[in-house]
Amino acid sequence: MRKKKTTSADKTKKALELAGKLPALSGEELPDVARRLGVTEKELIRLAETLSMCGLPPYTPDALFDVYIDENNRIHARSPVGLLERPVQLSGTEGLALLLAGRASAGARTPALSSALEKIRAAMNPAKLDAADRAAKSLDIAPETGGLDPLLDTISAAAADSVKLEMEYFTPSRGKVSARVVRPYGLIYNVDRWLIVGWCEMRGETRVFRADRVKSARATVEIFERPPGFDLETFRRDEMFKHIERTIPVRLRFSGGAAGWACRRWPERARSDADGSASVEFRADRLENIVGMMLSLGPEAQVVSPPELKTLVASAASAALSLYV
Amino acid sequence: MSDKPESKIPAPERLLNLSVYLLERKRPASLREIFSEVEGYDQSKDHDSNRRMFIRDRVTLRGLDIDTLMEKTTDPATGAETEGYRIDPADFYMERVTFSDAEVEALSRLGNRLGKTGAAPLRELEWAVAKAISSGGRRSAAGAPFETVLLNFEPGEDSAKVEAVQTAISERRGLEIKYRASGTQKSSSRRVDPYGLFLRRGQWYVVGKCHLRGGARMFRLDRLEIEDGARSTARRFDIPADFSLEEYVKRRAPWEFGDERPADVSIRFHPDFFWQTRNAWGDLDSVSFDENSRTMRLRSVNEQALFGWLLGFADGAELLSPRPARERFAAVLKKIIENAG
Repeated sequence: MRKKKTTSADKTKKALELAGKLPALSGEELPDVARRLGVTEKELIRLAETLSMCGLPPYTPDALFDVYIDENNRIHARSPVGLLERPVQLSGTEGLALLLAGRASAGARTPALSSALEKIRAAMNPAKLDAADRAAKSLDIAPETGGLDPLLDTISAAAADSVKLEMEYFTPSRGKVSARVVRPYGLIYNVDRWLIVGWCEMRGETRVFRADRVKSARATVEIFERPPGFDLETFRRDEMFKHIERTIPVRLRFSGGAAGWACRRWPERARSDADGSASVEFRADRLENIVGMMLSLGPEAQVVSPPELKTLVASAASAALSLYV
Repeated sequence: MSDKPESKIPAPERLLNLSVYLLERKRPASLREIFSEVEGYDQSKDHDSNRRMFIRDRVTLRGLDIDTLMEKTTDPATGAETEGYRIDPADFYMERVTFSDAEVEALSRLGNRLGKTGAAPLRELEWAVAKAISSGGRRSAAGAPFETVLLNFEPGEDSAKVEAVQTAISERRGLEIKYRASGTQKSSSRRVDPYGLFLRRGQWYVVGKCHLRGGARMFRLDRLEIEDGARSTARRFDIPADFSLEEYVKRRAPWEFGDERPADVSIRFHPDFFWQTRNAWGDLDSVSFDENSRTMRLRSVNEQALFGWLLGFADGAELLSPRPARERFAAVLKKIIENAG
């Protein structure tokens, strides 16, 4: 799709939004305001200039909007007496964003958030609320929680209160559950699963735990302190998968339905062969992590190399077969 | 700036001046008053060309959710009754809301947590939160001490496409699309009436009526291209009253997608996989768990998907019944061992 051209309606909308937010805005930093408005800093400066030309008749200095940026790159503003002292109505899009966000955070919804959202609903223009409600019926972005609701509640409450957790956790590579004390820094819903980020007292390091592998979690009364400057989003972006070293070359072959699956799973790496099968080469961090996937694909997936992986798959399948003979 | 030749003042300035002018009026303003007082209208032009400009401006403002009311008023110059305009402050401003400190903090967190997910419909969230908080004369809880929940949807898809579908749904306008179905390289042109849009596992899906296949179907957004210029064909449609997005979005287990004869299946798990399976699927009404025997009961309509899922547990799960399925499962295991040997 082509990028939409900025029309005078768009500019008016942005300028009005800026005007409507003036009372709450004074002193906020220019880049932050620009990001929220969805404009560049340069465009924001131009919007501020536009706004400074507008006001009420007779357009004397005291009847014009007064917007300026100080030496610390903070934006300050004053509107003509009595004008736009309150923010303009939430638009349908803004109302929709709030509704969806409220729904999406169901897993971590506190009474304060619920009551705040209720108050906003009650204050919204009925026609716009109705439009937002209607649009929300056709949209869904809520993260799935599976059977994890009570567990996620316990963990998010402990993270918010900064109290340590006693946690039983299953480590698949060791095939067993171990009890440990964890300082929960926070919960991350990452694309399709819930993760717990926290300091593991047993290992003495910050670890990422899969919520679906937590057998039990109990909040203690022991308070902990986060490392200064710890930020969940920074951790997600820069640290979370950093420690994974992929060193083992693996070659797999897929036939039948699994060939199509492989091509979708590794669109860049899969090579289709003349007979309709597909082969894939990649590097893995642990062979044990591939066994479950290979078994799930059944006889249509075969290990070409390394031989150790072949042995792992065969012995896992043999162990399973022993239950049936 | 694409400045209209008829006005020296740029359009956004005129529109802003007009909005705040009409907002401040106690009594509806006549056109004569508007043209002589609001900066941006050209007094050297005749009344009719200003009037045409005003009519266009009113349409633009309506597009921005700003409704100008037309009411009868008296022209102060002639004393005659004439059409007048104003903007109702009650429509324009947000009502005052009083929030507690905890509520302000919860809202700020909501903005922080979800405003940066990249999901297109949440683009205006931070803005909405800031507006709502300031409506109570408060400031955002700047830098709440720390964030404890973070949602990362990683939608990947370009937001323009999401927005185009969103708009088409709200305007009930049909889409002309090119769709590349799963497992094929070729794409086909279709007409789709979009009913709903949802995000799952980092992937956007559109649900809608497909005119090629008939009936409601699901499309992955990354496999479809919206044909430009389709806007002009603008077919309108209605969303059937019995359509429910919830039904489509409802979580189903892999063995629940299919059309085989339903089989009641019973599976016993190793203790450690029993609770993990309950963590993963405990929210489904269609499955049940028995703690004592560590068994799970489910109804399958897709044996291949069920086997695939079960194989992943290796010897951590045992298919107990029905008997024929158990035998077929054992045969699959034998085949895997043969292949690996």
